[in-house]
Amino acid sequence: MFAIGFLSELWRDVLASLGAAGTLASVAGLVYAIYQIRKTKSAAEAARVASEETRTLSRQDYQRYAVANAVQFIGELKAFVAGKVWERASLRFSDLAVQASQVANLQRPNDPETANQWEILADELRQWAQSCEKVLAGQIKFQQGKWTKLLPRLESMFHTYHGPFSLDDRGEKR
Amino acid sequence: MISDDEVRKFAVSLLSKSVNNQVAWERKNIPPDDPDFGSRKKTCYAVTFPKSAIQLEFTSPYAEPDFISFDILNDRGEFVRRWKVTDGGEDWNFVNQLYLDAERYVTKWDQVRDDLNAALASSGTIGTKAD
Repeated sequence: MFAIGFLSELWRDVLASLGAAGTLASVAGLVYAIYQIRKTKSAAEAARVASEETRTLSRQDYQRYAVANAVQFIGELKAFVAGKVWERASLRFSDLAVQASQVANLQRPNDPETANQWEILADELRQWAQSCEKVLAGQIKFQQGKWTKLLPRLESMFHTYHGPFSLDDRGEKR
Repeated sequence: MISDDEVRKFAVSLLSKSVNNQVAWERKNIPPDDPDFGSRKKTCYAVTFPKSAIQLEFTSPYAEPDFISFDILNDRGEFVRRWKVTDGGEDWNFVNQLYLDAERYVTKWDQVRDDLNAALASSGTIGTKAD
């Protein structure tokens, strides 16, 4: 065991000063480490925010794409129903169901209630697709009255999310 | 097995009694796990007898014709016979009339209408304050 009793007062002061300097260096190191950790954390946070914003933008882009498709499909669907082209009408109802499901998925993180409404619409459109096949097979008559009620609702739901002043995926005005 | 003709006769007899307020219709809740539950507007009215029951279930699918199920059940609530009548079919008019009459009995809309007519035809202040 090293004893310091034999050291002169000068050496004891020197050793004490070295100890104090070491403690100061440790504290400075700790402060620097905290600074570095904070810097890393804020960089990670910035990366997370950037990634979230990119995700939101790509979600909005995809929603615009899905809705633009749907608006085109509605136009074609109206023509197929008017012309009683049931096979193609069935296909367009299915296509619209897919687009409505996509909008539902895009809405779900921000607005689950609206997402459910879109999912209900998707289910309804799938039933319309099936019913067109039954009409084609001569099993049932096309439900003109129900179609007349569905069309404005369908157009209104998709048009709300279409165009420069429409709603984004958070249901807010662009 | 109860034949179509017998079921049709039950429905006709039930209608003639129902329009004379001689059928004690009740509204029945549709269980949420019912396979047709996703359809819009589904309501059921039922009348119970000692060993059987009849229920009328109105369903309005999204994209197909509306239909009414005229169901006969046993005393354990099990289906004995289901007769499905679709809008546009030959039996629709009188089965729909029966359904609407069951609705009248349960909702008492005819009594409500008479009450409103009597009140509005009277002179002076009408109505009472609801406390």
